[in-house]
Amino acid sequence: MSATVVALLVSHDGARWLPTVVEGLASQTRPVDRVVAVDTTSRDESPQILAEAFGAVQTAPGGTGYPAAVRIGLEEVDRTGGADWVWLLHDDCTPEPGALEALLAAAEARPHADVLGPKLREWPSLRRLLELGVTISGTGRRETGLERGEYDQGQHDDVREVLAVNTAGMLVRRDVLARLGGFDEQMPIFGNDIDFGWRASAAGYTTLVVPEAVVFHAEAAHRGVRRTPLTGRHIHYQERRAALYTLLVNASTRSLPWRVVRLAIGTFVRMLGLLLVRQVGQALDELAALVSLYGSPRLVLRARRERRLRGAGTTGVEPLLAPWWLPYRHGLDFVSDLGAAATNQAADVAERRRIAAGKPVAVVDEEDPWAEEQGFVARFLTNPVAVGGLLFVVLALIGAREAFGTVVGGALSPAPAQATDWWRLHVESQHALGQGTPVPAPAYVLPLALLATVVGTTATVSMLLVLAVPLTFWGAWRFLRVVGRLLDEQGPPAWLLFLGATTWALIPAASGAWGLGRLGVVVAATVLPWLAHAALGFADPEPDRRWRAGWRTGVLLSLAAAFAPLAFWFSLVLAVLVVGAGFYVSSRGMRDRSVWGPPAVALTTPVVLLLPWWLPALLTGAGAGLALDAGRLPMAAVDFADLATGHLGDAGAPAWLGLMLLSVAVLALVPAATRIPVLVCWIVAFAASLVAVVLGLFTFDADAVTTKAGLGFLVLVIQAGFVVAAVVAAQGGLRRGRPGWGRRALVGVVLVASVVPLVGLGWFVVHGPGDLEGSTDTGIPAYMMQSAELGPEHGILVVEGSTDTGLTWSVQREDGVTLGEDEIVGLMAADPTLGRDVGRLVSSPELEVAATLPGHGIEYVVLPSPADGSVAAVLDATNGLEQASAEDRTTRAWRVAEPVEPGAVAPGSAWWRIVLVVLQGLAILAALVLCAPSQRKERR
Amino acid sequence: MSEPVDTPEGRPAGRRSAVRRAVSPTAVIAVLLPLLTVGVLSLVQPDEPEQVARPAEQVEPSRTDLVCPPGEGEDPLALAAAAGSGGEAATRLPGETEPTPVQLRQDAVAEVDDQETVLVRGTGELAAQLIGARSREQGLAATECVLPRPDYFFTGVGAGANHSSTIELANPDQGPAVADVTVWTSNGPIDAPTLRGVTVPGGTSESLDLSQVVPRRGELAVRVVVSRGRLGATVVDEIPEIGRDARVVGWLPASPEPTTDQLLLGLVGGEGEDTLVVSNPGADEARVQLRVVTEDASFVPEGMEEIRVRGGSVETVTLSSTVRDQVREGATGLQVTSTQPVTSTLRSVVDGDLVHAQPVSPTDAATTALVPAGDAHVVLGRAGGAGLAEVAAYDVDGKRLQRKKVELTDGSGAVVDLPQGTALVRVTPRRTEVAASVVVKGDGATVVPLRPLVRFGLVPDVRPGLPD
Repeated sequence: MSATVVALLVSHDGARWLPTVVEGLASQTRPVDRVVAVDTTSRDESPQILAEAFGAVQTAPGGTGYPAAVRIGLEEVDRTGGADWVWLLHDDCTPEPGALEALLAAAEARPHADVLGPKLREWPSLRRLLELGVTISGTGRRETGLERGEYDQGQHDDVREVLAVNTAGMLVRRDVLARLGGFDEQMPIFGNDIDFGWRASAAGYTTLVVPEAVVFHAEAAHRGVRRTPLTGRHIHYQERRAALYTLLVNASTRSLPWRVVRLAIGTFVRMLGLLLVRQVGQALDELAALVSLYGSPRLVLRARRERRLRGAGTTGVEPLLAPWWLPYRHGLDFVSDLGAAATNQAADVAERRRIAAGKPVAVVDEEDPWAEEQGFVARFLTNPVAVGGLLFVVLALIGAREAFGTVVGGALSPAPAQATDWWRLHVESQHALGQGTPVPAPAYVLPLALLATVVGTTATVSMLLVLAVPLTFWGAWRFLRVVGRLLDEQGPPAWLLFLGATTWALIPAASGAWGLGRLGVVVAATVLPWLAHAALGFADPEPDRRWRAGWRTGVLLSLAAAFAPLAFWFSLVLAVLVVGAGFYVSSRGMRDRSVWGPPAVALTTPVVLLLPWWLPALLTGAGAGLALDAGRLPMAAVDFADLATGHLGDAGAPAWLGLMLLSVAVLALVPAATRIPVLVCWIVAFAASLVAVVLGLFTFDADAVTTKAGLGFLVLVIQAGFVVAAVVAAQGGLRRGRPGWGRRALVGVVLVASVVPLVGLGWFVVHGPGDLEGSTDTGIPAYMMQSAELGPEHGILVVEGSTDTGLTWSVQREDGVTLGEDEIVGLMAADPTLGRDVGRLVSSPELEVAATLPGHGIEYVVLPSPADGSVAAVLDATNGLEQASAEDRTTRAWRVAEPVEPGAVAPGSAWWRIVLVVLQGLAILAALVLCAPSQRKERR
Repeated sequence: MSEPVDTPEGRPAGRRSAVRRAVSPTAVIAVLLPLLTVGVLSLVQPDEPEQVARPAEQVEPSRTDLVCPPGEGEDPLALAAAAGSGGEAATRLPGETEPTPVQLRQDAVAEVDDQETVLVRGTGELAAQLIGARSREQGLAATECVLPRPDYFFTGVGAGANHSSTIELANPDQGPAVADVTVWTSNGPIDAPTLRGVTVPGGTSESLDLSQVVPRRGELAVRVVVSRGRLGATVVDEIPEIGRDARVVGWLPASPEPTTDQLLLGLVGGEGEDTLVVSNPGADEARVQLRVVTEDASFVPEGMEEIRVRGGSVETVTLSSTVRDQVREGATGLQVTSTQPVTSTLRSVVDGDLVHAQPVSPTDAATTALVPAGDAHVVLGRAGGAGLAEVAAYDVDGKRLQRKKVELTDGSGAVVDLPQGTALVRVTPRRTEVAASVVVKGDGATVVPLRPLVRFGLVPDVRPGLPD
């Protein structure tokens, strides 16, 4: 006599699938002996369908979990005469006609089998494999051993022993089910199958997967198609909680402590990963699951005790668990997916637009058919553009020779000794500069500090300067290529790209910003092509990509604005011009939130990210910093000729180079075909000129210095705009131009224009170092500098100038004015009390002011070379000042006789500053997460 | 073919498109936008923030230190509060810590007997009035007390057996002072390492006997640069084996900073010899022209040749016959003009006494001098225009003995005799400027310059700046 099989079907709001399920059950080649249906108070017509098909339906309350429902069903099975086998089915899974027969055949063939599971395939696709038995990894991940969306081609069709099988279609001996105590009700929906399988294996039972038996499963609850009161919206929470619970209650006592620690750490790592891909809800679910279990250890201990009482060992389980390395493999996959997503979306805004518009996409055959046969070196050397690029970079590095190692000079102050100095500067609300000042650190201190933490301060400055030209070259190349491809599918020829990119890359050097040591302008110039490239994403056909572009542009704009605040003002004006033009051209198209939103996001991001800089700056009267280039004050005066020819003051390459670029940009307007994109470049230049003219009106008067706005960034933007205009027009002309005088003229112009990068590069190689040098002499004796580093109260009062032309005083503390402190020192309010005391000190020896100096935090007084004899005579005659030695005889120095007063000038960090900085950090993280590339999952 | 092609819709279509093509909006923008951009840019013309010189403010000094040279035996030191209410001065000898107070009344002269270098300090109101001079009756001589300054020139010093000079450096302050002494000879500057970085401890004085430090023959010029601290520098000149006595000792007045035009005022009549020493501290050769100054005019005497002084060297010219003749004719001084800034000293040995004509410059401020006992007359010279000069004489008690007004015309001078017992003389120019010296004759002769009492403290313009 064959065994009795009772099908146990649990349903909850399954009317969508139930008719098919009923049909599937009815069509079994080996019919089930009885069907016990349990309905957990469905709100649809499931009970009626079940009643129609199987007669009586057991009804359970709405909140009943699957294990409880099974228990109710089993009671009914026992009441109606028992069974040898119970076949568990869900309301969203339907068996193939031969499923039960195959399962029973397998059970017969292997009498030791106690639990058998079918091959689960996706419903409704019916082709994709879902599960062939499951196991669990050390991190609690449900492992199927299948790839996502793998088609069933019979590739896994071997009966084999597994840790567990899904409850959908599980055929289990009734007595085994009873002996194991059914399913654990701690896991109402998810994961109870793995726990059951683990317990079964531990108790010495065998679980087999039988691929010949096929059950189609909709996974309604897992996919969120069905929401029950038990899952709510937090499916991920339930799944994770079940997974953690399974691991904790079933693990061997020996491995438990390790598992507790590992799961906690793993949870945080997973949270981080989920946050990185903007899955905030799931990340919180992860945490909630961990907290819910770790917060109730009794629950876990009780469950462990129960399992122990049932006599479960661990012997048979180990080989069935997922291998130890699997989680790391998944981690690696995750990272490489992310990387692939980031690189894939790089160049193809143009392509995506073409695809979206239904236009053909050029198949660019970049691979040389001979490539395979040649070595890398041979391929490289036979590619003139590659050789040219290498040569360019090498020459640019030669031009940048002075920046290797320590570099100071011009507007560039020396870097502090350690990254912590920058961090401190960033976090402090009160700096020990001058007589103590609340003027905030400039915004670029944070990126410098971050970089310096990794490579050190000197290397940071050196790296930024040395890599400026190569990185700009790379960025410009990418940007120009995409711009070219937006114009036509072929994109610009490589040699034209090369010309354009080299010209662009030389702008920071040829403008003189590099040689003047205007680090801020140089970094902003390096960021510029990348920023422009990110902004091209606003034109992406996909809204999500537009948003990502908005965030990316925002972050890059923040970086540029941190180094050159004018980048923000320029972008604001440009955005107003471009968005305004957009509304004029197509006001309906612009109303879409995903069209105007991303640029708005890009403009808001710097406002938020740079809050700890600009807000205190405005409040402390240092608002001028919002219009200055980074570095020493005052700014180089930039006038009309400088802006038109791309120069900062008197520095830089010959002006006729800039004039040539201007002429080429004007000529670029001639070809009608490319006139519109060229006009866009001119709008960029126009926006920059608007900002320049407005800011040019201001003169900023600080106590210590009077300066104009720093227009360096605008000089670069105008030049870059001209370069793009030239490349665009040249590309258009080359593609469309027919042979004739027009073509000859074009070739002539391009040939002449190529003189610009050539001469520019030559100039840089020769005159590269500019004002930069390897070290600087402050004129202050070394032993004083050493003493000053003992603490901020060991200040050095430096008095310069002569009685005839007026004296200026400043106080040097600790390591002197280092990079990042220039703006603070330049914009801070001078202490009027000290100012008065200094005036009295140098006027007459009678006034007994030397005694007040320690109270001002001053230990030494120095008149740097050439010291004014009459001032020196007054100081020599002053009681309370002792002459101090100086290497240079024309430098005069005195030590204040009174001992220093500790705490005379003390830095501080107010709570609000720390709050601002923490908020900034979080905002940066959030912004970075939001610029992470779109992933396929989200796009689906 | 420029005619529009007929279209099914009719002719206007072709014309319209032709017109549209001619004035396509992008073409218009393509012309306007660059013009607009360049136009806007041309408005960026920043006015460079100018660095204006901010000269120091002149105020009443709050403290004045005078350094008075040492005497020999019984040379009295006279102190006075000129043209003020007087007050208490403090005198101090080198090495002393406690000063001795000296009461000074207006225009009265107080005497101090110390023969060492004396440091005199006047504070408060007295700071602007304090003057002092050391004098000697035997072989009449007188020299002013000096205000410490960073730079001194002495022209016509000696470092040999027949003329040797000693530089006295006195430091009125507590801290040490350092001086660098440069020496020029007729063959150019000499390297004297011992004269570099001469340190004078606070409150002390130091003597540098040039015949010991840089022994050599010939006339020299010396520059003392105070590189650290404050120093008063004076020079004592000794010329053995000439004149009436076995030796002649006197004080050599400091030369003013090198200049192309200077006046040596106060020539003493009598038999003797005159030596002009000119030093050119610059690099280029200087051509020096001498003019004789009388009460009414100045002229180049017959036979007077141009003197050429090589850069960095010292030239000595004996002028005995010329000067003696001219003094008899009424000459009161010598004017030294040159193509390059030079310093000069006219040394005369008259009737066996050493006399230096004093370099003075015309000023419109009141000038004062302490007058040693003897027959004295004031010599005025180089008036800056038509005006008056009031010459007032006071005795030791500050009583005015005489007040005379002298009419001056452009370039003219005058000689005003002073009554016996004059201890202090003041010349006040009105509507003009004038230079003045006092010539005193007694047992020998001496010339005393009248210096303006425009003494002020400088309060530099001080403002916050940026560290380098």
